[in-house]
Amino acid sequence: MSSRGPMRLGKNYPHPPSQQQQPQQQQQQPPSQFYQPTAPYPAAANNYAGDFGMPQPQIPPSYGGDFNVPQPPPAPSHNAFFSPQTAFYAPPSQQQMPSNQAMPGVEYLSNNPLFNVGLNVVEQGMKDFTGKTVNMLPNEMKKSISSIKYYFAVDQAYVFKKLCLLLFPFRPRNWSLGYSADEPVPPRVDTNAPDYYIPLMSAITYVLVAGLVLGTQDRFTPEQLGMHASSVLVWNIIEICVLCFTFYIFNVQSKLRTLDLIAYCGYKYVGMIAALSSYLLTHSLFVYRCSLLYVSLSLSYFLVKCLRLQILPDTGGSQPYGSNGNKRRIYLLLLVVILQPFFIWYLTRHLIVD
Amino acid sequence: MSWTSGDFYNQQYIGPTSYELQEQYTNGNFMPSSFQFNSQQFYSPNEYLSPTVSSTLDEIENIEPPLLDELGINFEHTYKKTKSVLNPFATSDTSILDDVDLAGPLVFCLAFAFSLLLLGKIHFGYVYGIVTLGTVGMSALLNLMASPDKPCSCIYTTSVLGYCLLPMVILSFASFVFHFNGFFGMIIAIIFILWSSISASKLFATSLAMIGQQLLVAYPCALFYGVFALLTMF
Repeated sequence: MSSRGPMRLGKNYPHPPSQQQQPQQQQQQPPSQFYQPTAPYPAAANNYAGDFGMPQPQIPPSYGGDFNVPQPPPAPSHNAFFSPQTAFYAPPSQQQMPSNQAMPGVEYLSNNPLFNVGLNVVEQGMKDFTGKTVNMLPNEMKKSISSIKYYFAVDQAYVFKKLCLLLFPFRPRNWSLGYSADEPVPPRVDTNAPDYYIPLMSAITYVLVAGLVLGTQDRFTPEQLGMHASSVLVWNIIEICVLCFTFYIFNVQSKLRTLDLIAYCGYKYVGMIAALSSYLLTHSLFVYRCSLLYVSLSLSYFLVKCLRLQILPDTGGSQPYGSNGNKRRIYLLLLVVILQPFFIWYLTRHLIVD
Repeated sequence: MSWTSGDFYNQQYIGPTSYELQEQYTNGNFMPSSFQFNSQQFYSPNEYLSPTVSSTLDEIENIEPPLLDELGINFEHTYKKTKSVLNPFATSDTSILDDVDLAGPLVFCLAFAFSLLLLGKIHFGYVYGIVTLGTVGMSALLNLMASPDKPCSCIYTTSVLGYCLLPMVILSFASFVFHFNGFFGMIIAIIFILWSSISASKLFATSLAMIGQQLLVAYPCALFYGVFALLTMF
C-alpha cells in the first residue's frame, strides 16, 4: 500500500471507522495500480508534501512558540496536524490524530496511529476470513502503554523542583497528591506525583558515573558499563518483587499501584549519584561517608512523607481491618524506607577504593 | 482500463505523462492501451525494439533514476545538516531534515570507531552496540514524552543522533593528538558533550514540538554522547 492518499481516521477509534476505511482504500487502489507503470519513478521521492495537495487538514495546525523557522501550513515535515498543548496524559483510544507519516522506514510501533489502523485492518480481515475475532495487540497492552505515558508527562520545572526536593525535603510543605475526577493528575501539574523520567535518567547516569569513577582508577573497560547496567536492572527487579510480595503477604490494600512503587524505588539513584560525585571530587572516604549518610536521611524522610499518605490509613476513613492493619502498614513503610539506603550503600561500595 | 490517472497524482510529476507514453506504445505492441489483436502488432521483434532504439537518451535515463537518488544520498543536504550541527546556535532550515538518511551517520560512526583505532582500542562492537541501544532507547523515550500525534521513528532518531556525533568524532581525533587526562581533559570532554547534545536536542525539540522539554531531551542525548566520551578517554 503506497503512502499516497491519507487515511482519514474518525475521532472514535478503533472499530467504527474501520468500515469506513476499507471502501476508501479500495477506491484508491485502482488508480494506483494503473498509475505505476506510466511513471518511471515517483517524482521527488522526498517530496511527500506534494502528494497531499488534495486533502485539506481537518484541523488547522496550531504552532507553539519554540520554532526558529516559520513553516507554511500544512507542515510538510512530519504531520499535518499537531497541537503542542496535548503533551498530556491522553489515552490513545480517545485521541487518534491522522498522521501523514512523511518519513519512510521503520516507524515506532506502538505509538504510530497508522499501526493501529493496520492492526484493525488485519483484525477485520482475519475476522472475515476465519469468522473469529482476533485481537492482535491486546487491549491491556494499549492501556498499559498509555498508563506509562502518564509518568513521562513531565517538564523542566517539575524535574528541577523534584530534584531539589529529593536532596532537601526538610522544608514544611504539602505532600498530598492532586486528583482530578478520581484520576491522579500528571506530574507536569503536581510536583508530588511520581514520574519515570528522573529514575530512568538517574539510573543511566549512575552507570556512567560508575564508569567515570572506574576510569579515574584505571579499572575501566566497556564491559563494566554493561555489567553495571545489568546489576541496576536486576536489583531493581528484585526489590520490586520483594516489595510486591510483602504487600501481598501483609494483605495491605492501598492506593499505591505497582507502577508508582517502581517510580518511588527509582529515586535512590539520585542520591547514589550525589554520593559518588562527592567522592569523585574529593577522593576522600570521610566525605563519601558523610554524603552517604545525608543522602540516606533525606531520601528516607522524602519517602516517609510521600508514602505515608498512601500506605497508612486516613484518620477519618473507614478501615475494614481495624488497628492490626495499621501496624502491618507501618512495618511495610519501614521496609520500603530501609531498603533504599541499603541499596545505595551496596551499589556504590565496590567503586570506593581506600 | 484507462491510463488517465487523476490530477491528484499528476501534480508534481515531471517526467513524460501518460499520454506521451501511450502514444509511444500504440504503434508498437504493448497491449494495455487497446485490445486490437492484430497479428502484426502482437510481438514482432522489430517493432518491439523500435521504441527503445528510436527513443532519445532522456527516456532511457528516465527509466532508471540516478544512483545517488536511488541510494537516497543527497550531498547538499548532508553538507547543510553537518553545518547546522557544527553551529547549533544558528537558526537553520529544518525542512532539510525531512529526508532522513543514514549515510552521514554511518560515516560519522565509522570515523569515530577508526579514531579509536588510532588510540589502540578496537571497540567497533561497542560503538555499534551503544549506537543501537541508544537510538532505540532515545526513540522510545521521545515517543513516550512527546504528544501522541507526533510519533517519531527510530530511523529519524538514528539520523539526528548520528549527525550530532560529529563533535565527538572531533574530540576523539583530537585526543589522539593531545592527551586528555585529568581534570582539564574532563572539562574539554564536557564541553564537547554539551555541544553535541545541544544541537541534537534543538533538532528534536523543534521537529517534535516539545515545549518546555528541550533540556529534558538534551539530558539523555548528553548521556548518550557521554558514553562515547568515556570510550575515548578511558
